Amino acid sequence: MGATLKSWLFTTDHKRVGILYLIGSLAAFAIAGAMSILMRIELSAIGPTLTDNPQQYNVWLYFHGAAMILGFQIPALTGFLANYCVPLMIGARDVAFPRLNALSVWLFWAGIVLALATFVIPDPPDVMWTGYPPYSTMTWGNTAFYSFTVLLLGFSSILGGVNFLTTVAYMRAPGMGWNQLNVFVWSIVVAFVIQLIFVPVLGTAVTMLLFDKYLGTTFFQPANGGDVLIYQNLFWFYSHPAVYVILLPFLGITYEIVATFARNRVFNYKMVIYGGFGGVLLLAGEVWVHHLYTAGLPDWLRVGQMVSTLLISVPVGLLMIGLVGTLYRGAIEYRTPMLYALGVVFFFLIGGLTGIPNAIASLDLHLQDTYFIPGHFHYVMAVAGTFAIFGAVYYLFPKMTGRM
Amino acid sequence: MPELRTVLAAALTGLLVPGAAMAGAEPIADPAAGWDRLWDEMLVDITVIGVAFAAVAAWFMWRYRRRDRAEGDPPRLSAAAAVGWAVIPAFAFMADDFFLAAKGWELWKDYRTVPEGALEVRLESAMWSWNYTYPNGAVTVNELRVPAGRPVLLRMTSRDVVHSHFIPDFRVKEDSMPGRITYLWFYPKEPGEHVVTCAEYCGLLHSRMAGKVIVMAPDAFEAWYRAAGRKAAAEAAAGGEEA
Repeated sequence: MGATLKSWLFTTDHKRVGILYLIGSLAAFAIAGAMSILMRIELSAIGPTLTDNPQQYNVWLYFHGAAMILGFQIPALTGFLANYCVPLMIGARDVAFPRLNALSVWLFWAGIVLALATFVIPDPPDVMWTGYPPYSTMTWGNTAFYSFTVLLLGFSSILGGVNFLTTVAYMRAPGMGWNQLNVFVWSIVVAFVIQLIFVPVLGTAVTMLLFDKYLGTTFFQPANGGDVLIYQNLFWFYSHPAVYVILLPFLGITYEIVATFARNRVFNYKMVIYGGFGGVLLLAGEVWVHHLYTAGLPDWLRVGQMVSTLLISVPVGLLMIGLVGTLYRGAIEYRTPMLYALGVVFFFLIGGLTGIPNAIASLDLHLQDTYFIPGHFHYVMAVAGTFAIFGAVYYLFPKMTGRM
Repeated sequence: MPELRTVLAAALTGLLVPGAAMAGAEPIADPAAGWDRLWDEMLVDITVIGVAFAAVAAWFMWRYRRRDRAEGDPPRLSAAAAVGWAVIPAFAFMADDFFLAAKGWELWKDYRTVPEGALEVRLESAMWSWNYTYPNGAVTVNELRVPAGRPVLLRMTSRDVVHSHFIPDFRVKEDSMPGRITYLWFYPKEPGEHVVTCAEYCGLLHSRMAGKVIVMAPDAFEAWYRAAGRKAAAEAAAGGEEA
């Protein structure tokens, strides 16, 4: 037993590392999901329902948001699925740097432990998953926990990015060209390119936050020459691309499942890869201002990014055409993973289309910060994304366990 | 909520004769009315796309379920067909995007161009109150009294953290934050009361950070405004003597 446990904890095998990611991310999903149930019960009636301490609610909200995105979606997709599938799909024996891989899963677990520690400390963070100053530098909530959790998971992602880009670039089976890669492998490549470009920006932002709150710097304090908007810009400069870090792999694995159970070839592969994934990669860094339409930025910036945000519908539309086109003249068998994957198609359709009103800067002046926004992104992330991950778990379960 | 006929008429007018919508427009374009109009058109747009897409997907799911064949029989796309399947949808989506962007920009200009003669009120938000200061020095807290029929401009900043002044009925919000001055304007037409709420988390009493826009008949407003101004002046004078 002890030996087994040791062999798992100190493993450098990509499949085992993947499963460690899966366990951690499902744990984060369970706890963060419980938080959302607590919040819904609390909101079910006017006045105090479960707690009369408003700070308690904020802690639930903080944990739900931070853990679902940083602890569940990103690690399940770029940790578990990438580790488990990519080497197998490109015919490599393992990833390029197996020990670095083990380090990334350890950092991920450390991040999860640190996030869970917020339940036992007396001053848990209450900064949502965004941590906007000056609130986050003034609150008695422990913003340091937020910063360090983000930094640990961020380092984990950067190491994963280096590892997987090297693996796919240098360890493909002999004769396997870039145009023969699985759609999922491509989605991981693009997701990690995005991570490598943008994670350092988030790391910078939360480090500045940490310095502001605990070391007396004034990056975000206007009284001493700082600017509160710098943080919001830096934060969303990462966190919008982070949406694509989740979106692309979940569509990638959905493509695999749909192609498998429709017994069909992916429709117009190059359109999906170069038009869809390439287009998203091209636009990922030019749309962050749509989170800040009401934040008082200059008009030219808001209107310019309204256009780039609307243009995201081009690659995403191509990805949807590829997905539905893969059903065309197929022989569809409705097994459990396929049911999840088809759920992704419809929920992502709703999620994507409800994004269009938000993209229009003038409509967003009313929609911003209302329930329409959580509605939109929960269709994309919480429903479509989670369906894709669950579908993938069912899809890979026989491979992982040897049981049908 | 306008009736479907109105919605379609607005959508069609917008599609066919972009200029026509402007023809009978009043001198001051009300962003709130423009918002409702664009929202209705938007719903038509995304519903049509969504239903068409979902119908095709559902049809494929039914038509190509596994029956006699165990393998799919995918079409072999020629190079031209493959490029066509990428480029034609891409241009269709782009056309819709640019169409919507143009509409959005038109409305944006209404939102951000403050009409001449607007009543300018300064707002300092704080944990947890909205503090309004009028041109004549009158001060109110959580209660923005304005005359009907005159645009109102708010110049906003914040004493502590980021707040967001949201007036749902006027379809407008804008953040206020320390160290920066932001603005929004709206056009109250009829006397009445409208909710103001904070739309950016700002601490434990964020949910209680609510106020009212009270739109008054112009005469009533004028009387209140003079009295409030005199009171503010008297208080300032008294404060000055004490100091």
